[in-house]
Amino acid sequence: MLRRYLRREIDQWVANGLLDSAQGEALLEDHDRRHTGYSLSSVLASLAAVLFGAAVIALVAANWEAIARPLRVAMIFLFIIVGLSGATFAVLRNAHWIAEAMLVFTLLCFGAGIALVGQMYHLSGDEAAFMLSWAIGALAVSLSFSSPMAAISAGLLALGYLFTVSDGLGIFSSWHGPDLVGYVGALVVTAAVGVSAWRSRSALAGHLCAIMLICTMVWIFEEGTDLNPSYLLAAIGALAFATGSLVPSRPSAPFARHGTLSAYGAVLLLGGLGMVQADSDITSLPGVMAFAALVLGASVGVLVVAGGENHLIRRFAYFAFSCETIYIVGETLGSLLGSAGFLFFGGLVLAAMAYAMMRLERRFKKKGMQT
Amino acid sequence: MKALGQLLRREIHPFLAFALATLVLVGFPAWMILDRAAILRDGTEIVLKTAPVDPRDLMRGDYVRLRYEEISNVDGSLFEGDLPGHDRPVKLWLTLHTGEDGLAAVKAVSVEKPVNRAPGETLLRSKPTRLSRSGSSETVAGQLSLRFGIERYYVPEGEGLEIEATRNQERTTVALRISDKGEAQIARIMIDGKALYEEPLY
Repeated sequence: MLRRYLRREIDQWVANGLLDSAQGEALLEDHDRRHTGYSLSSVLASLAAVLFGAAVIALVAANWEAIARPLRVAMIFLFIIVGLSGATFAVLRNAHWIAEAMLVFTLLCFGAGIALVGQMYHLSGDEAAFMLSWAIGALAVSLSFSSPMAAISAGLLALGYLFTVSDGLGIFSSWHGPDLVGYVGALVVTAAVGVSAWRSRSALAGHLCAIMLICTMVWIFEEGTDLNPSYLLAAIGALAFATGSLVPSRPSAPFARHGTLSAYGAVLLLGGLGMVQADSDITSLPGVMAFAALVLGASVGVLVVAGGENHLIRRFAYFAFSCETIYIVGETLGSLLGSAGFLFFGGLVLAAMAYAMMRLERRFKKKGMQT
Repeated sequence: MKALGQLLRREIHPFLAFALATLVLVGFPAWMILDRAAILRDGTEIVLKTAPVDPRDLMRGDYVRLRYEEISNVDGSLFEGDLPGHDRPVKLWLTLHTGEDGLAAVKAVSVEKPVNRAPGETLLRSKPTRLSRSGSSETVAGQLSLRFGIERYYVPEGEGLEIEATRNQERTTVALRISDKGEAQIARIMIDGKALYEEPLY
């Protein structure tokens, strides 16, 4: 991705006479030398680790009687200890990618180990407990070794736990009513994933933690109250977006202005509003129009505030805007005049938005030149 | 805030990391094994009639699904004591009594743990389930569908069919060991009273 982008830009600079073609080649070569070979070997090491781990899991699943049960347990423990020692020596020698691969292997063996205990003692109906135990193992590894791969595994396993323990966030649950122990448990696991993401500096694990937090909120709302969780999503989104984009930035702020927090806010706000709309029982045309105007207004607002700074937010706001337009056309197909009028109005808004964006982008450029 | 962030990022020595991770990754399965083996060794034994069916688990291999005639479906009229105030999933206590034929039968079901029990009675605890009241009265409606975490029996690949073949002939029984906390552990699977699979402690 980055290399293709770099290649295109360098070609452009060479064509414009900003850069010698020899210099351009030298820059690309330098980039290749520092990135390619390094990541290829690490990817291969991780793949090998996953394959070895999968082999251990398959060995447990086969329930092969040629190897006695205590011997199987001892083998799993041995694999875990070998994996962890390998990782320890790799860390001591600064070979972090080998350490990561070793830890992935160790975690797969740990999962196989809990599965083996379940098989030995014929446990059933313990899917949530199984996922939670595996997630706790991944958290222990991630926290002690500051390992990003283990943090990502912990995030994925914790999400799996959340979905099994909540019967799909309460949506497929047959009972209603608060399950306080479950909520507190999910929040504690989320916090632990957050800490391990922070420790290991893994942005991906951080996203998993954020997704888990949002899912837990939806679960609590769905099961514990009679309200529609879409309202909650929209409200959290509005709050996050306002905090991320409207609060004046300070150098010491824990998040960048118009950054990740704003992007989450924009996605949740527009997604939540869309879900509210899809669930709502407003049928009168003026009501539908009013709500559509609200969603379109929100996407335009998001675009004007943060679209210039964050291209992810910009694209999502465009996406939401087009979805809403298509929805409106679908809803109003019966009354052609209504949709024609609305499209005309939408066109006016778009034109105004394009004008505003042009002004904004020009201002950003000016600011960029001054600094 | 910043200081806390730095503190959380402080790296520990790899040897200490190794020790901590080993403690959790080896200690946890070892504790699970000891816990289960203790139930097998010290638990009270009861025998139940069962009907096996055969599907498959991806990570743990072949298993036979077991249904228990006596305890998988319990009549709501056996319910004793108070219902919980809120409509939430609860774990139920079953009082089991072993009859003349050597098979255990349910005597009573309750939310609270029964305090005094007669000799020969065993207490078994279910997984959380939801109770539905019959009307406004303090009784439970219809059949209770219960689970105990003993609904699977893992067998070596391809051997599940052997037990399954006997499923409609009402010849299969299971011996359970039950701990003081009401946790059940499968000890033996029997056909016509003869042990087909006997569980070792470890």
